[in-house]
Amino acid sequence: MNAEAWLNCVITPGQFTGEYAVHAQAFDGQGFSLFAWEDELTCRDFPQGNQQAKATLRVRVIEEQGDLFLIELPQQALENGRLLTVKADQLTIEPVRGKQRV
Amino acid sequence: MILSNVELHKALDAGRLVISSEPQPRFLPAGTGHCPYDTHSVDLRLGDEISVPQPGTYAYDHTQPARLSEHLTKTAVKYKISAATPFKLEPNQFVLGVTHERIELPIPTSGDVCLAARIEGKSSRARTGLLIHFTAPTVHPGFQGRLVLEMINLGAAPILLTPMMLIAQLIVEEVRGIPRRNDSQFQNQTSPDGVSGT
Repeated sequence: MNAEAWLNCVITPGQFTGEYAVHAQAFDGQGFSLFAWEDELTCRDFPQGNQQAKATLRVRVIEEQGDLFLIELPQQALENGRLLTVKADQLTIEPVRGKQRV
Repeated sequence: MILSNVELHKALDAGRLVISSEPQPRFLPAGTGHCPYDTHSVDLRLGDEISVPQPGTYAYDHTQPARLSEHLTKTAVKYKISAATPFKLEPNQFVLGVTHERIELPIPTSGDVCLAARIEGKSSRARTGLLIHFTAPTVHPGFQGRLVLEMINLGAAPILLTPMMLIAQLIVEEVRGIPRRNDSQFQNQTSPDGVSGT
């Protein structure tokens, strides 16, 4: 398996224009974060200032075992590596749609 | 295998490597200006933003899961720079910059070769003490975006950072084989980073 998918996440503005701080959860509920460019994200209404918004992050699915998916992130997570495991309900085949600010 | 300038042009034409805006000109008669392509690298320019981490009463614990990316953003100040208002990088000061160019290294759906890259400094900048990256030069296959530069001035005098200045060079390499899963990183894993705990 080597398919594209979209990981549910929450984003806040990053350190540069067009960059966002991304926060998501691994399969065991532990949070991880990374920086990603707007190209790698879909979000109906990208946040500004102190706002945050729900978004989806483009990832590659490397392996599937039951409801667990091994994915590759577009950038290395700050807390661990580029490969990590998430649950099926955290992934969507289609990117997020609609206004999702939280 | 490192791509020569000719192979870089071929990769750009084939879409295996995307640099936007594409550095120009590809060739230049000797002595008539600057060509961004060296024999096996292409120059990149500095973008117009500098992010400056601020000191505070905090410490980073890389062993703890946290919203570190958000924290890094909140504890830094972003500066817009221009030719008229460059950023003065003081000796021993650490800042983040970003390349003007956006890089893309698509992973092909067929074939057995893809591209990776490394960002490196330029000797002329290094002679003044400027490091534009440390420990993180690799651009992975599949990457798309601008490259973040971890810059520090190890010299004795301030260095002016101006947008569009030549700041780095990109060295592009072929990766033999299309990246796929590594079984050992998934089987028997006990941690969320996919690394086996046994």
